[in-house]
Amino acid sequence: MEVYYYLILSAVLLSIGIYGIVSKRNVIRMLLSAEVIFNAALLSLLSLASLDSGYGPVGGALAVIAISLSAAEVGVIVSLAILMFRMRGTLDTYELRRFRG
Amino acid sequence: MEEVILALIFVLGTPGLLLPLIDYLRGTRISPYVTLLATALALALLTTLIGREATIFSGALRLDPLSTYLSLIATLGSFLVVLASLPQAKDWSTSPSLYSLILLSLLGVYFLLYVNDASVLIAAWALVAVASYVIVGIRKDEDSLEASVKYALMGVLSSSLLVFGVALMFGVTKGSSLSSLEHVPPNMRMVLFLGALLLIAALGFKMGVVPFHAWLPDVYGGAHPLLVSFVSGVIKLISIGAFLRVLLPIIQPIGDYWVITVALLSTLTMFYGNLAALVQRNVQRMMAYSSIAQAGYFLVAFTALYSLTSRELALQAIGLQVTTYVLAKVGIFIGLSYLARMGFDLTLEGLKGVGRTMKVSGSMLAILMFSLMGMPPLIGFWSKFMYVFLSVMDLAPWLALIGVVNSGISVGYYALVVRYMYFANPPNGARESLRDPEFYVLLITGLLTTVLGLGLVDQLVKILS
Repeated sequence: MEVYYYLILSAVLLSIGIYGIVSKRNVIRMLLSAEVIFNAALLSLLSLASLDSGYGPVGGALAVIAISLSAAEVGVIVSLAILMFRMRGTLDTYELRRFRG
Repeated sequence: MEEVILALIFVLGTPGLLLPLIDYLRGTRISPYVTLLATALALALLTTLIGREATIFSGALRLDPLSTYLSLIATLGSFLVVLASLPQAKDWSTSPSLYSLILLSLLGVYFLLYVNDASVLIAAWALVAVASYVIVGIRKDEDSLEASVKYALMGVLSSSLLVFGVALMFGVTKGSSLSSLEHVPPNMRMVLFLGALLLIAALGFKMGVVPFHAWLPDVYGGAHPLLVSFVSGVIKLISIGAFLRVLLPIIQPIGDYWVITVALLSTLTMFYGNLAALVQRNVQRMMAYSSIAQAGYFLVAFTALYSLTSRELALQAIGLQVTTYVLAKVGIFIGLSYLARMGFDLTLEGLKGVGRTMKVSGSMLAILMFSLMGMPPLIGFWSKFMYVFLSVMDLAPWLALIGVVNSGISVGYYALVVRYMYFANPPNGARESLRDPEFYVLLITGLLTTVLGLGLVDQLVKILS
């Protein structure tokens, strides 16, 4: 039953990530919080997959697919952050509103 | 049927990957025309799938009439967006990438509508999501930067929650096929419900369901209206498709929690969207809030999926509501981008007298807004009152009542726009011209909204069920 410990850890990581996304304003910090949630998801995916010998390899394959595809998302967000830093000189999402008419 | 899907991948994927290269090598802009041709071909290929039912690619995809119908609507929407973009995106330095991304994300939308396996779900979701962040920010100016950063941050959160939901749900059912979801051990219901909650949050982020809506007014209200028409008209279908494929099989095992959760979200979403739209002065932001309200109407139909007796009606309601929504949103946002190109300011005061100088475009815009409002005999009336609200009558009559009240509230702002467009003196003499593609897009969407409402609803229901 030690899989429950992993599930509890994953729930804790989920809470940490949601707290980070709600409370932080920096683009990179928000991205890192979302990545913490993503890794919590992978942890619970793999720990649940380890329970069943038939589903185990399938769960592992799902995890590998998810990891490789999330790299694309991170790439796009980091390039947006670079663009934002060039245009505004800051990474603070609240600063974006200042120029609104 | 596998050949048709392979042909679709070839028709959309090859130009999607090659267009920026071709334009770079030739030094000319042929990409819009290639894209128009590709979407038209895809439309023709999809018509061969109408009414077919099959599981293909060893269980990775499953075809059914409703999904084929939704893909047809998505393709029609993309075709209209590309048609309208001909004069608008001409001067953008990044326009070949725009067309390439439109084709690739359309392909992703097909896969999400036909998905039957968790790995396809994750992969297609990532394809559409990444493409949509770039589409929103493709102009690289200050407004689209803000919209794109917000969209991307909320999007990556939504993808993470999707993986979390998939992990919990498939950990319970021990398989990666979506059709295995129905066989759940009864003692695992709570885990399944938790997974479903995470998935609802992930899909709610994309649909703009309250309380996951915070990004939507800034993105739909701040980005270029042409790009918004694609994001709101076509990309939004992915969350509806995923709802139907992933959450539909587990509604029965979850039980009553489903009705409570989704009905509550639906009530919040409808009230928030409609009330917040009432106080907007910028028409584009107002239409962004109206998108939130429309997501609430979709959730009414999703609530009705719970009872097996009303499930068929609810599925038809979703199909028809998607028709209304895509035609109206694509038409309205393209109409707004047309007005912006003609030099109008997109505030209520700026649109004074538009209906008097640009007679056809103005009347088509008014028809589309009346359709969203639910006025007979337009398609919006049939989809909203005769299908969506009727489908939930057995299960939760109070939800139908709330929906009707909200339709009443929404008259306030749609009619306000129409009033400013018609009952005020025109500020300048901008004239519409028969050479503008946006004019034809407005004409097609407005006429389709009218003609379909005038008696073709029965035929549509036959196609999609």
